[in-house]
Amino acid sequence: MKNWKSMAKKAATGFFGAAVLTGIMGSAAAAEQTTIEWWTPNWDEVESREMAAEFEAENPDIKVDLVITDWDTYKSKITTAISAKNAPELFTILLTDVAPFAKKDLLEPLRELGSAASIDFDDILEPALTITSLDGEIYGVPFRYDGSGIYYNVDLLSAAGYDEFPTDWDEMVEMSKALTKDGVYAFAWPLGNQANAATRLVQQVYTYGGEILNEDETECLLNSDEAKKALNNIVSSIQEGYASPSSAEIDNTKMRDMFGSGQLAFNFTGPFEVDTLKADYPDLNFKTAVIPGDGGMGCTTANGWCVSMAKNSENKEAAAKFLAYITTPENQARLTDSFPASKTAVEYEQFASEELKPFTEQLNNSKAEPTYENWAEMEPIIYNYIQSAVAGSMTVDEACEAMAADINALLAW
Amino acid sequence: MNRKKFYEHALNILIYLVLFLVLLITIIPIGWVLSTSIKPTAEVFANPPRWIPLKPTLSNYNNVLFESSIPNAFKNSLLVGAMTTFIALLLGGSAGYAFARFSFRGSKVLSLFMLISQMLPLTVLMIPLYYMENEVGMVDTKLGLAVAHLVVSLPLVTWMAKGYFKGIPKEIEEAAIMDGCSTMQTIIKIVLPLLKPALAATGIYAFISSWNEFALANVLTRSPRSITVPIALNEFSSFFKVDWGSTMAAAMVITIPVIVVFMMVQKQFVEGLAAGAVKG
Amino acid sequence: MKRQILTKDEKKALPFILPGVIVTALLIAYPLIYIFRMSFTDQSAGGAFAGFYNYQRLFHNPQFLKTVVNTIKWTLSTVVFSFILGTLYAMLIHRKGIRFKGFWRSIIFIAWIIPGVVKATAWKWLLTTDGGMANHILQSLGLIKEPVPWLTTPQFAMLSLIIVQIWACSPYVMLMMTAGLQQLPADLYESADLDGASWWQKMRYITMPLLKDISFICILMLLVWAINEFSLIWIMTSGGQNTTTLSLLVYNQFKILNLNGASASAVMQLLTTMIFAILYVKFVIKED
Repeated sequence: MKNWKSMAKKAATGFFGAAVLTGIMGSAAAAEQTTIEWWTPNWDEVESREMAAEFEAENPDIKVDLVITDWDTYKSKITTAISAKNAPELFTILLTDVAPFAKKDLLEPLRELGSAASIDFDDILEPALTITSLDGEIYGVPFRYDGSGIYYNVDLLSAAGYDEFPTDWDEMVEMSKALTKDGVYAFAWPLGNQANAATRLVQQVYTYGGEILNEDETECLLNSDEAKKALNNIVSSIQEGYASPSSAEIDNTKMRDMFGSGQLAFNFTGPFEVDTLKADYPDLNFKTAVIPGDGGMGCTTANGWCVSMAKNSENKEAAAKFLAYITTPENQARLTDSFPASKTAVEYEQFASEELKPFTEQLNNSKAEPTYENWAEMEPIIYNYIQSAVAGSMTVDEACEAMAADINALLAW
Repeated sequence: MNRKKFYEHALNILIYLVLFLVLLITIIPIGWVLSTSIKPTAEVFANPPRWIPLKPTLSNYNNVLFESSIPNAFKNSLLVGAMTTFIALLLGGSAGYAFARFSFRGSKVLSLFMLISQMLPLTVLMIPLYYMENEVGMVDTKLGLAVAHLVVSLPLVTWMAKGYFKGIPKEIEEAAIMDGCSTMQTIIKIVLPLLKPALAATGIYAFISSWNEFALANVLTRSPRSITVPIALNEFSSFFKVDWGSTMAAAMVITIPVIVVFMMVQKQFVEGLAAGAVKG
Repeated sequence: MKRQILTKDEKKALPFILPGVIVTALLIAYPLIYIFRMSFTDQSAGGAFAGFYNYQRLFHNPQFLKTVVNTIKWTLSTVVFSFILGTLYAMLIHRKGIRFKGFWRSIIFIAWIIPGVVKATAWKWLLTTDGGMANHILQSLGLIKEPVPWLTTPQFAMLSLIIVQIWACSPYVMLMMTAGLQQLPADLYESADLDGASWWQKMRYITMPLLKDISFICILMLLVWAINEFSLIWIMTSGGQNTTTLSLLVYNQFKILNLNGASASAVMQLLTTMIFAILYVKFVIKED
């Protein structure tokens, strides 16, 4: 059994050796310069690395460490790290996720700190800044802000006799019936994913002027006529067969692929897909339009991304400096995959293309996604009843009443 | 007698049919992963579904093997698995030995405690484990994750080892001690060699559970120095789209070695499990 | 009379047992204390004692009862059927006259060793209603006319998840049972044969008692896996179609930083596990 002993020895030396080494190297680096950490998602990786390198070249005393996160896990990682008081200086986060953190006093207020580092908050689009603000203080610097619009397959629409995309929901329904044939469906709903599904219902509710909760957040309004109309739009489109029967099990990413491969005639999604669709589906002939609504343009929920700073991080000044750098108008334009949140940058030519225009227009009728304190608990409830209604085990009326009743029970506590 | 033989044959054929069916149900999901992994993006969602793509491509594998962090994550997973297995065998093995050989106060309570430990939901442990490791600077290290994975493997290894040691007659050890061996020598020279297959089986169990573990690795790792394969699989999905071809190619890359290794040690693995199985 | 603090055996046992127990205690006891404490406090009030508030809030959530019912349904059916099926596989392959035993075992075992994330994704795709391979195959065999909405209706979703979990877990039972079967003393069966014992008698009086311990471990593991399963359900249905179990509830609350609520749910999950385990130990292995 000599092997055992020698293995154990080797392993032990290995562990401790490595531990000591990293310790030494870590402290050596710290003595020379300030290190800040930024958690950035994988779709921003290339630009983030470029910016970090540029910033380090200009500021040799600051070192920027990047941690690449991904969509499925970024939130649980930040949640754990931040509640364990081990958060990075900076992290990229969805606008609507800022409030829950800010309410728990986990984020650094940025108005003063940011202005001192010459972040121009007046240049940030108000609706985006509103989402990241709480009680007059700012907790995240938005660099991207967008809402959904429509992508439509020009060939499929013209084959059915349509040159333009209708702006009224009922007209769209008429057209959808004509478009649905030979295994092609007019469109689909992302009801296989909780967050995607709830967002789409909310958009419909907003389109009819409805609300999710009353103003002081004590009562759920999802049993209103507006909400019933909204849910009915979803349910009837699937039951009458012009929205894909797969709707119940797909999410936004799969709808994108179905649209790309010609299985859907049009698709509801954000401006960020213009370039990637062209790259992945070179044969696809598509145009964009605003979302049809109740006798005119519908309402979209808008959201975006910002960079926030953890309250108990170490090198706040250096972090603010870097934060100012990555959110300049030029860099916002580089970092965003859709629109920037900087008023200056929105005017840049790159955002004025034919495909992006409808999205700019659509932002005029947009509302922030819900940021209620209990939203994450409400979402599964809403999701379950949407599914029951679509599966036909409940009527639209019953589903809406049940949603409201369950959410009210939740709010009562 | 002939009739009996006939029945035997018929029954065997029936059993083969059942086994073949089970085989199909096992193979189909893997086959589908394989099939998707060689499809170009445009064919991934083709309807009706197709087993053999019209334009098969290896570009997904090229992407996974040469342009992604999967090879690095693979290495991390191997190291984390090896460390967990080693520590679990060392600590669990000796605890199991004590449970099996010595009578001491609290033995029942302690062994019940080990058993209950095995039952704690990982979602429950996730947050406090993070806090603990954060305190000692072990978050985002391979060793940190390996230690966390002990939660999954250590209690079971102890429990299994207890069974194995009980299966070895005490007389063998007593004879060795009469010959002048110390307890330690007896264990190392006599007992462990007898238990090699059993310990190997337990080790394989500890390794596989570490290899597949997602929930803890998800919060405890974040950078290339510690990220393991189940987490690295997410690399191919972003906010807007999922590169299913590459995800599936990566899934194949991380699954095949486990299957191959298991095929090779299958016989020893079963023998090992058996060693402590009957007289627990 | 001088009292001995430690007996001779205890002195010997200590160095063996301490490291393992200490590590387990550190890794388990602290988290346990932590979640109990969290479940009785209110973080937004600076960690003040909150009595049973978190629990009351949980019980008043209309989804909670459904979740508990789902968890019980899910746990019982996956444990029972995985065990039966796994044992059946083991016995079929163990039978004299069946060839390529190693081959069959290895193939079946694949279902257990592939990473959970991979199997969940693969099955989600196979079970897609429209354009999924499962419906495609069943339709081309003429077994079904209309596509079955496996994951998209409440009546099928839980069933589908249960089937996949059984598929994934029964191979483990098969392997453990194979190990047990191979250890059974052949001479006992021979003498039973000589006495003219029937198949059932051999089963009842030889096989089952000898496989008791190994069955115990198997069922315990199945129980733990069932109650703890997260990624399979999360990936395949995200808890929609009435498939939310307690571990998803914990995660949903954790996600919004409601650590108090998450801890209360976690304690409930723990209690459920314990109730199952205690009932099991009491009624099934009480003869021990």
